[in-house]
Amino acid sequence: MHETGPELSIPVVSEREIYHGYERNRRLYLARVLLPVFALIQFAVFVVSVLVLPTAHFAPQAWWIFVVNTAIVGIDAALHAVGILFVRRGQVRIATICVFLPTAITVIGPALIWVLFYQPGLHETGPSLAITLSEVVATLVLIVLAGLLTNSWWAVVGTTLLLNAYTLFILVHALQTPAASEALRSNATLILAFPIIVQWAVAGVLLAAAGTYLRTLRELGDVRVAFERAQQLDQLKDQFIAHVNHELRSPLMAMQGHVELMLLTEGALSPQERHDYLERAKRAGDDLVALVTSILSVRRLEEDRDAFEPVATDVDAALESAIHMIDPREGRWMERELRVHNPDRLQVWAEPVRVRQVFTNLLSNAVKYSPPGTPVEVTTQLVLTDSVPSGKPGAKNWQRLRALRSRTSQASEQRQMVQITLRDHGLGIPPDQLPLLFKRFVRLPRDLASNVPGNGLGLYLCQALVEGMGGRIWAESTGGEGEGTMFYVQLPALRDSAPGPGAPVSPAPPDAEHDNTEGHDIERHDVESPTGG
Amino acid sequence: MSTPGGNGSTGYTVLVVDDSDDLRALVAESLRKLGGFTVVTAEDGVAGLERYFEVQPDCIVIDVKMPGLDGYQLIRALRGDPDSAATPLVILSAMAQDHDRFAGFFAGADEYLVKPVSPLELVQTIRRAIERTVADRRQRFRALLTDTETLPPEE
Repeated sequence: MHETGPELSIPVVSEREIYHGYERNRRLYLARVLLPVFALIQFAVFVVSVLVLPTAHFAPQAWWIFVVNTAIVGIDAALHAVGILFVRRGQVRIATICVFLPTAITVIGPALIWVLFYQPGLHETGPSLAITLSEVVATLVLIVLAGLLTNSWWAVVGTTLLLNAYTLFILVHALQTPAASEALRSNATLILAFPIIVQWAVAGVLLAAAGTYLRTLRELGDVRVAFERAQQLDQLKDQFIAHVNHELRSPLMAMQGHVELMLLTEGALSPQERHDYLERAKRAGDDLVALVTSILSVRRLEEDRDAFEPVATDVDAALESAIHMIDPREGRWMERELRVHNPDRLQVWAEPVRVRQVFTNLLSNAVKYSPPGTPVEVTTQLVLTDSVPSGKPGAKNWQRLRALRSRTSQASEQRQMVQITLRDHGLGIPPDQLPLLFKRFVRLPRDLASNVPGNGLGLYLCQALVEGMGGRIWAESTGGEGEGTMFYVQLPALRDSAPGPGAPVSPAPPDAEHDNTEGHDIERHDVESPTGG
Repeated sequence: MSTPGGNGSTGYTVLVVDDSDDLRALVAESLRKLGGFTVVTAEDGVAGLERYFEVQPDCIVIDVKMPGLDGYQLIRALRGDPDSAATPLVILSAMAQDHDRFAGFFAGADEYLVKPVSPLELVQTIRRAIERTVADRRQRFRALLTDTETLPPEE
């Protein structure tokens, strides 16, 4: 029984992460399809330019422009090739840079050339116009790709506008020179104007298509989310079964083994030995029953967290009955002092059986994990807390409860809770291990190294029970030896037990001095261990 | 050698390392009553190691999940020492899955028993493990005696 289980937790993938993954895949897919196309176009333009270069007859300035243009196209093609490489590696960011950079160069480069090297009659030559046209087409496709990769339609529209401005710039400047305007009028006006229309049309079509595609992906994402949730649940269940299976085997062997050993050695056993065997078999059986009961409680709780019928429950009465439920064997305690300080006879709005179960677990823990002879203190007080954050288990109940209570009183922003503090003077819990306490099948390393029995389900159950009743439970400890551990349980208070204004606001430290002077109910419970320690 | 299920002492000593009191008692009693072994117990890995060097047992029964030094670590420690490297080690664990078994054998265990095990099966497994080791040792010893190459050269 002193065996630790791995913490039962499965990383929950958020919906955002799933969608993010889809987005990334979508972009990578598009880039994978489109980038090679652009690279090919750019490369083709580059090859054509290089082939045309020796045969063309340019003015010296125009020749330079042609060479620079060709170089730009070459650089673009190279960058695209690099982009393809990174897309294959799944690195969207670098691939995007590899697309954006040539786009910028292609758009800004020629414009700069025009400004720096502008000469009348430049566009009289045919090849230069053809290159400009091919650049326009290539850049258009690049723009769309850049927009898709960065997933921003502003990138598409913005860069398209930039490109249009550039084309118009060429057009206007070319028309200013008589010779160029003559050439343009004859063949180039349409060539330059046409791409502008085509750009917008293609960008629009791509945008619409991508929108539809995105919607489909979202729907697929929903299916995927549902699927992964189901899978996680299934995995958790498997882990649970494996763990339970493991936890059951040890007591089963202890029980079965002793009985079998008795059968095998029947004649040779002394009465004392026989008694010991039976005793151990019985104890193992008890362990089994306790484990099965815990598991069933967990199962039941998980199945119907919402199904509880709250009634006015007396904290004292619940504590009283919990004390009788504690197994006197636990913790090998001889005599314990239980100090209950409940001056206002507070009542909670909860289910008595569940409250008793919580107290039983907490008290038995307090007894198990503190040295014999040290007292266990229980203090109750009324506190005001903020509403339970929605989404937590129990929130639904709380709303129901609130609706119920608001009939008799004006609903306040804060709710009244009864805070029950259980304090022991045991070893305490290292603060870094506190968050683990309420997890399923978790036992602290220190407890595993000790002989204290337990299956790691008690506090998990407590938490589920308390939260199911619209309350909350937590533990505080400094981890110092002898300073003990404090368990706080907050449960919705019953209206009648309100002491009036001035109730302390949570978290309120237990008032030790108050305890001594006004300790109303100090009970003493002497429990004798049947085994004598 | 004792008769199976008999009470005669075999002269073999078995060390039982298990952190659960009741299980340790069960295993010890079973080995004593059914197998006629001398039994020494330890409640965790460190104590097990100490007890090993005290009594030099013929076989060790080890639980896997224990506080401090766990079963695997204990097995590795024992296998790393030339004195204990040949001692038969039997794992008795509640972990029943295949990968647990593999981990046990990988660590160096000779046998892997999954709880619950009947006392008879436990005793027989341990006896088998011890006898195998003894036979093995005897054979090696005999080989050493008859192997002329290992004998000192005659002059």
